[in-house]
Amino acid sequence: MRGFARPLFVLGLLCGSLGTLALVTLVNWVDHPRPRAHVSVLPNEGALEQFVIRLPRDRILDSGHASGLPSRYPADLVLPEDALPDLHIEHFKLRDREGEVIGVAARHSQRLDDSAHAAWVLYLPGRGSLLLNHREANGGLNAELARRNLRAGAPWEGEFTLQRTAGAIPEGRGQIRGGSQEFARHGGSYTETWRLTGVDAEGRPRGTIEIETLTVLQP
Amino acid sequence: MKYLAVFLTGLLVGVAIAAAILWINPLSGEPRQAPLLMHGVSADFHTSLRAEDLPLLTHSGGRRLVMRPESVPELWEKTIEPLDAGMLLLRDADGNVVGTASRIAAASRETDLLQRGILVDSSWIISLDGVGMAFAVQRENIWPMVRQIALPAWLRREPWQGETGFTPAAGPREDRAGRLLGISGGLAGLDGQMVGNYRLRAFDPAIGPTALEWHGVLSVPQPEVPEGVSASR
Repeated sequence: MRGFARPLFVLGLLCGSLGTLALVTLVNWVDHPRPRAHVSVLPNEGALEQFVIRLPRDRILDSGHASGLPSRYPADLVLPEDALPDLHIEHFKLRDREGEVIGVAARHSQRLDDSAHAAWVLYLPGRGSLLLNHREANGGLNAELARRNLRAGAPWEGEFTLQRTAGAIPEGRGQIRGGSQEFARHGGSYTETWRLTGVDAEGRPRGTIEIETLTVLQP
Repeated sequence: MKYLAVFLTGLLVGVAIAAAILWINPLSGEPRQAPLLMHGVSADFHTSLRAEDLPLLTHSGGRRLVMRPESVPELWEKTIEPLDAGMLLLRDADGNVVGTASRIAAASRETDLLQRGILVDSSWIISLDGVGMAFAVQRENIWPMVRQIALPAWLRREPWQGETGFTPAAGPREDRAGRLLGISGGLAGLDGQMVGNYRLRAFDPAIGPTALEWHGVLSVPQPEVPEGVSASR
């Protein structure tokens, strides 16, 4: 009996230690959902993908504009008075072209000298993040709303389309700057188009934002 | 029956040995040295978990971290459950708000307690007032913080108070720093580093870190600064 006990103990010990280490190493403890990507491959040009944001339901954050249009969201968001007057920050839920929520996006726009620049992070769990930046067309959304005489507190119904990308690369397209995971070695270009169908009395725009990316694997 | 008891005892001792190996494993711990900063221009900023520094933080609602403000939408959809998104105000050494950052983060699928630790990937947009904008992509290993502070607090079910620092930088640059990509203004076109240093002062087992400061260092090669634009603060 005693002769069996020692090898059995050692066998248990090996099973316990190696099994635990194997479990820790081999099991995917982090496994993000990865919805099917709706990508069209263009021969010799790259991969085309469209992302959509529906306003106002996909808004997570809007730092708002001093004019009240667009308004700050959430309403109980507290930001320091008069801090960073030249910055506009927005966060959204991001959808694929079929309308399924597939990620979260952050957008910053900043007025610097005589021009306005904008940047996006599109974060898709399971795929990584995509970094985009462009020069704003015609001074950005707020300038366009002001040109159309839209004012905070005055609801507006109508329709207009605004392509907000005006560079940094030719043909008015923005630039893709890589990102993380599957996008780490990607470049390319994109367009950002706002199709607005109204603004409510609280200064919340209604419509869609469409981001169309053309990604190319960099050498 | 006796043999089964002997085998199970061996099994339990084996599990305990494996747990001890994971606990002291240097491969997944914090490297002794922080990433070296490149020769060029560096700027330091700080922020914290306080509402005046982190006005917005949201996630699926299923995690310990507090969400704010109260009416912030949750990231409840199954496809975005792994994410958290926050807006941070960046302050200079005098406490003045000099910029803001948006950070979207998720646990990395390359998490591996034996070799790499618990990895968190984050992507940032950083906007510095009057200077310009930059992207940052960062990977951090939070296992040393979990091992040293969080696990003991969870096991004892007692809040922790004290002061300890972490530099969890784990990439994606080869020097373990995060990658900083300039977008506009004085940062346009620059390829630099971002390193986050954390100072933890309190941890509550129910809601996670309650007093946490982040000191970030952005470092870029010496830029060719156009006249009238300041590249560093």
